[in-house]
Amino acid sequence: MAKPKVAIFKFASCGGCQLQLLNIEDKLLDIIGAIDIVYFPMGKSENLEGPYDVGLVEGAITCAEEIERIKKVRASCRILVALGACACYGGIQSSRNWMPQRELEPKVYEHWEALSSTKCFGIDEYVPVDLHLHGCPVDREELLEVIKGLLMGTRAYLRPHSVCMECKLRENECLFLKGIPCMGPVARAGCGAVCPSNGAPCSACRGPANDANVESFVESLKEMGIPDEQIARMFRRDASTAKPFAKVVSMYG
Amino acid sequence: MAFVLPKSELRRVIDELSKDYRVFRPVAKGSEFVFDEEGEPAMDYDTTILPPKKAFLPPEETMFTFKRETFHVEEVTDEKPVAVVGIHPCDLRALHLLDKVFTGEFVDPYYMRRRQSGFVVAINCVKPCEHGFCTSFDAGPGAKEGYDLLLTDLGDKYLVEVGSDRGKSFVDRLGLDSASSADVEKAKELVEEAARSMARRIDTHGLVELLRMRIEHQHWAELEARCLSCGLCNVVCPTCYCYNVVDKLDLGLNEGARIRTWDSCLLLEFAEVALGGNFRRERSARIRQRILHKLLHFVDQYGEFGCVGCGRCVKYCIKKIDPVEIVEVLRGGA
Amino acid sequence: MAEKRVEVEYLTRVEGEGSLHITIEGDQVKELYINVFESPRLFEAFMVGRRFDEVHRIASRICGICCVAHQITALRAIEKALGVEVSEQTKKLRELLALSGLIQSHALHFFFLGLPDLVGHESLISMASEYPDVAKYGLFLKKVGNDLTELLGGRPTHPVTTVVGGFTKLPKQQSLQEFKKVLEEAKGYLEKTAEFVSKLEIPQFSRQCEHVALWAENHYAVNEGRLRSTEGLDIPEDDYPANIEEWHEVHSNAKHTRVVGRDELLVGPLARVNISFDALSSFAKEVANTLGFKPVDYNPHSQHLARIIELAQFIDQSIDIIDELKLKDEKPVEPEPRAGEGIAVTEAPRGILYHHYRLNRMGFVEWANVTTPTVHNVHAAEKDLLQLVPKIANKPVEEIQRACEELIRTYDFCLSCSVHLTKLP
Repeated sequence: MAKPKVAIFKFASCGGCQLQLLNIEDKLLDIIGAIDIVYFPMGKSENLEGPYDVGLVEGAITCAEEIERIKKVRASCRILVALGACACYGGIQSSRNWMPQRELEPKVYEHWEALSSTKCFGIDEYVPVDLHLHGCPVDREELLEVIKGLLMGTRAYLRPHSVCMECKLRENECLFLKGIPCMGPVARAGCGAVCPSNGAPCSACRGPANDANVESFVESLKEMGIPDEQIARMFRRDASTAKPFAKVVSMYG
Repeated sequence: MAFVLPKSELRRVIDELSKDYRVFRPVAKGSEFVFDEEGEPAMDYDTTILPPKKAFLPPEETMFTFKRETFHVEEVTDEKPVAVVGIHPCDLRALHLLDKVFTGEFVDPYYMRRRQSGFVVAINCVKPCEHGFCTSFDAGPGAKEGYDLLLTDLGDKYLVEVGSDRGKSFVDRLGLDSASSADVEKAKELVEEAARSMARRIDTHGLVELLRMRIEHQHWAELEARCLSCGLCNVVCPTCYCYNVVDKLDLGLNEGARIRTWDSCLLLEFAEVALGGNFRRERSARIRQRILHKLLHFVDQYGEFGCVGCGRCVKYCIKKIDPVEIVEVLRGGA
Repeated sequence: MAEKRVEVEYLTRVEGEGSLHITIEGDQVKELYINVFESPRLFEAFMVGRRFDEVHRIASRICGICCVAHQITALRAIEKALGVEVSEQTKKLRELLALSGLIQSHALHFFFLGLPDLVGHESLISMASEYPDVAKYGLFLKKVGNDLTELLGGRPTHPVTTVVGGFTKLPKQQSLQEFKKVLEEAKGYLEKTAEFVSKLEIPQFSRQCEHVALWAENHYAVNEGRLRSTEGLDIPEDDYPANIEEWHEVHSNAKHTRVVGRDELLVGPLARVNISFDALSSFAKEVANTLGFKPVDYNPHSQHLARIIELAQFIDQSIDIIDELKLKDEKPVEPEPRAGEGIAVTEAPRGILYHHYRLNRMGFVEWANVTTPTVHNVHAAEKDLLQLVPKIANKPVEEIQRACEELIRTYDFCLSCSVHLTKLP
């Protein structure tokens, strides 16, 4: 079997999700042995043109040029994987979507009239995506599972349920029950509950869990005494364009 | 046959057991407790985050490894048997229920091996925990059977009751003094007192028949709005036994391991089948499944209730969804 | 006269998206600019309205490679605005955390992005077959950085334990002690790397400009210090805005900085080693000696060497901190929201990083400003190119292009970092 030709693309992002591939130091040489990375500007100088078997796309779509480019990328890849919170939901910069561009742009750019910056979304706002690999950043283990799945032609098992499941399995003290607003109950797992396991509340960077009951969760936040503006901020983070989250932001923001 | 163990000697029990077993004991973790293989035993714990079933049915377990090219399969077995020290009567009864599931008609070799080679030191509850309702199922606060040794806290010492030959020979090895009849009597009184002060209870009288008539009840829909379907109640339950099985391969796709992990019937994907079909798409159906499985279907299948009233599911639930309350509501109206 | 155009549409082995455009007429450069075409993310805009406790987590997302530096710099600036004084233990742990990020980033750049140029390969992937040992050293050293970040921060990229006032979770003293063994092992690989690199040919090219770095008495400054330069600058961090200004050059899309009253500056490993050479550990000085490095060195290609010297320094410095630390259980200092303004300058892997925030009385961000090392360096790189290109203008375009790309890569640009500051003309 020929090694699958893999391309790694970057859109608006911090580079941290591509970096996770290089961060699998122990297995990096094995990965390179199993797949043929033919397009990866951050990591190599000789980059081949498509078509590719697999495209791993990091980053959000935040300007007109990127809309054009992601469509070309889609057309060049048999399987397209959204790599990380930015590609899945727009990432942290999607939190700006609730402010008018005309107010945002002049805060950073003097010559804002020259910008073609748009509201910020994940790539599947514009193109069909075959697999979403969530997280800010993506989890190295999950990334490995996805690569193996691609090699086998199967869909990797990525935990779609709440972070609470993984958190409890690690026998962490529940932050929420201690009065710390933690997004675990409505957030998608797969990270190993890394934040609550380290004493930090979950910020739901992976977006909503399967069948997340956001309404009921928000009720609990209110009972806890969390003000509306904070509730809006909690949902207006890395996955704020996810429908159930966006709804809360619009309602309380 | 009863003995006494000075509290200062508890450490010796654990050290002695450690020679032959991996010894799980309750230890403090922040303001909570967990069963762990290391750390100072905290025998007056109220409850643990995960139940001690984890010693016999680990949350994640490699069942066997395999090589695809040669079809070579190698079973993974433990190096050392497990002992649990300080298991509460409710969790002890939960093991008895899991025995029915895993060592009855269908034998689970992994679980069975650990149970058969395992050692259990139970401890009676002398002060009721906040969320428990064990008396509903005769699961506490005193243990009746299923232990090798049973402790009762008498203040400066434990009363040690022997429940098996293995327990007896271990006591002989420790060289414990015999208990006085006053000690035995005091332990009995303490447990009875604890039972009397248990505030929470499910009335099991006629419950099975009642639940059969409450399968369609508006309360399930009310719970649907409340439940977060986070699955946490399943994870902390001492009698939940569903698991998921996945294969993990190496990058060469040749060597791999078959792994099973605890699963949860509250999750949407639990009852999902090929082509996206799902038998329990509604949250209400999943909540009902959990409650009815414990209080109705388990009885149908094994002749006993599948809940032991440990109270973990309500203690750790953010929405405080409580089986005691649910049964009260279901009893209350049509 | 014949015109030559060098167009690099996508700079490779550089973090982020940038391009290079040069027009040459004879031996004169008509036009030269590095363009950052990363899309606008608008960090300083959407940071406005966030509460003090969220800022460092958001700032972390500016860059996945130097996330640790962004976190620590944001935390220090916010803490200054709030008047929060953290414990000595927190300072030490933060320095160790910063060092872990520096080790990771330097190993990534030197072995993955930079070294292929020195040995004539297009990537570490292709290099690994010819020099498997060197690839192994690189992977090991990078993992050392990542593992140390994970030990302190919970995970390597965007660590989670850092909060205003301290840490949500402390590492175990024993784990740190055990990690020392790994650090010691890393020193061995570093020695071998230095020997390997000492035999390689480093392009000879020198251009004097003002090198700026943090400096501290008897200490290799990382998270705190005074700003010093090779031209006599010596100021506290709070004076940064008065001394380093932003400006725009007509031919470029990127924002530039310069020292007030003077010109462009160079920040990063070379500037640091030049300015704090005396503070290097004896092992780091040995490595410098093996590499034939002597301060003050104005060859931008020596930035590669400076990274190896610094890897030695950072590993020693980490070992020292672990030796000094006697961890006690400490909760983060609880901040009281108040109005205030805070400036922090730290040494990120690529050089000085400046965060500046103004908070309202509820502790929400009213105004934010971040200047990253790459923004500081873009103009120095352009000036290097302006000096280099006429000397090689008679060579074929491909050769000019390669030489320019190699020079740019010595800077280890982080364009994701710089983009939110890019100003369009």
